[in-house]
Amino acid sequence: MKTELTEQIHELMEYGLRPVTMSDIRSLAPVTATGLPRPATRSQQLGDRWLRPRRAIVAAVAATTALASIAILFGVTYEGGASQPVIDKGAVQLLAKVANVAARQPAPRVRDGQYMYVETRAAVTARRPVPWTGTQAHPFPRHSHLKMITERIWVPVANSCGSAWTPVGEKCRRIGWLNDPTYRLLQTLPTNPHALLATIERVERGHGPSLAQEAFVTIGDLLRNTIAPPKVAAALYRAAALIPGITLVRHAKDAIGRSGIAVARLGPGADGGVREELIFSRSTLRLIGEGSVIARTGEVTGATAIIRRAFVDHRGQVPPAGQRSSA
Amino acid sequence: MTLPPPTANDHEAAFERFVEEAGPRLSRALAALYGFEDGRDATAEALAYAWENWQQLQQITNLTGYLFRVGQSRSRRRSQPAAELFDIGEQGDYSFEPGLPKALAALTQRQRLAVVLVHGYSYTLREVAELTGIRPTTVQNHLSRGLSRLRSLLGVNDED
Repeated sequence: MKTELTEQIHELMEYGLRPVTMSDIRSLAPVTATGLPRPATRSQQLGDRWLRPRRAIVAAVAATTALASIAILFGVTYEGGASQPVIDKGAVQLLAKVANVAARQPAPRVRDGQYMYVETRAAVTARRPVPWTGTQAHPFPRHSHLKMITERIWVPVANSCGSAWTPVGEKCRRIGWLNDPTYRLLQTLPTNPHALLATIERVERGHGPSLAQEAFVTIGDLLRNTIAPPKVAAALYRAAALIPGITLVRHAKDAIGRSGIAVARLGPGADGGVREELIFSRSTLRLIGEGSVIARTGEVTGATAIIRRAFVDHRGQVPPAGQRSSA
Repeated sequence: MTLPPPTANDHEAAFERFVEEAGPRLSRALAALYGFEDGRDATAEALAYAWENWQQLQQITNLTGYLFRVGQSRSRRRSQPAAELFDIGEQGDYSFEPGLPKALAALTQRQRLAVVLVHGYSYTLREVAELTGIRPTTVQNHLSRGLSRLRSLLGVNDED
């Protein structure tokens, strides 16, 4: 048996893959336009969140590495064990407070031609495998190497069409969809938390090992990657409070070492699973970042810190430091 | 001097070059999602679509990523049992862990795509992001979860 997971996966794929030839292609009946990914109506939003086009979100990712922050991440300690109570009153109460703060924010005036600018610092696992020199099987690289990257994305407020992802010959779904939303789509989401959670679950059903975990992660994505209207942001927090298994983490740190209090949910995985955390500022009760941590070992496998979010007039524009969003 | 418009032969040559260049990437990605057989079918259908609409598709800047979506849309109608996704037959000349095909099949599609492309084919997170249209950090998240789950499924951990 080969000792590197990389080599094993590569060998398996090469073992089973058979190349597609020109004669294969020519032998197929013409594929009609109905084969294209169609713009989904809201009731048809059934695909994989992360496999869908993120057209503008693909936008510029300015990545700079800074390994110095690794120590910060490994210094983080986490509370709680692998077991998950159905309801953690502390987590529910925190989310209620956070939701109230979000709901009180003024609704921004946004023009269709603008963009949501979201800048984050993220700690991601370095891909480089650890050389194996032992005598026992060690086919899997350790993912203990984190590096810092900066991400800047510009998400259109109203029109997701016109990008490379617009299907040819198809009417583009201009306002995006739940997992790739424009601001205008966010404005259409239910502000009733039960209805909002039902919408999210309808989209995520069938993806991933746990619907509850998928819903929790989706809510985190929506809150982190966009600037949600105040009432929708509040509803998202309240919807998160309805998800069984959420817990309170009293001491957490985001990717740049800012301390906060978190609501977490334990997902499946080795070593007791991976805990996904939404981290809030203790003083402002705003979302400041996210964290992923292996439950048993406390090892941080990823973290994000929200640096800036604001509406800007054109793609590529960076708002002044200190400008904040309403979410 | 004005160049003559491209002929049918020019288009065919260009398409064949595209298949040669992008075909393997599509094939790997769609096989990671749907398994060897369905993935291959999805790749063939996506490329057939590309051929049918070759001139129209020239305006697409990320054509491989676009065809990845087409392949996905063609494959959603299929429902191959997970255990058969990476079927390698009863016997064979290979040196990978025999439990790997089933362990890989047990991951979510997102995890599997990240694990196969990044670890199996040394794609960068950025390359996977460009192909699939998602953010590198999201790829990273699924990669971490996928590796963690693979370790669990195969009963191996870093300390071994």
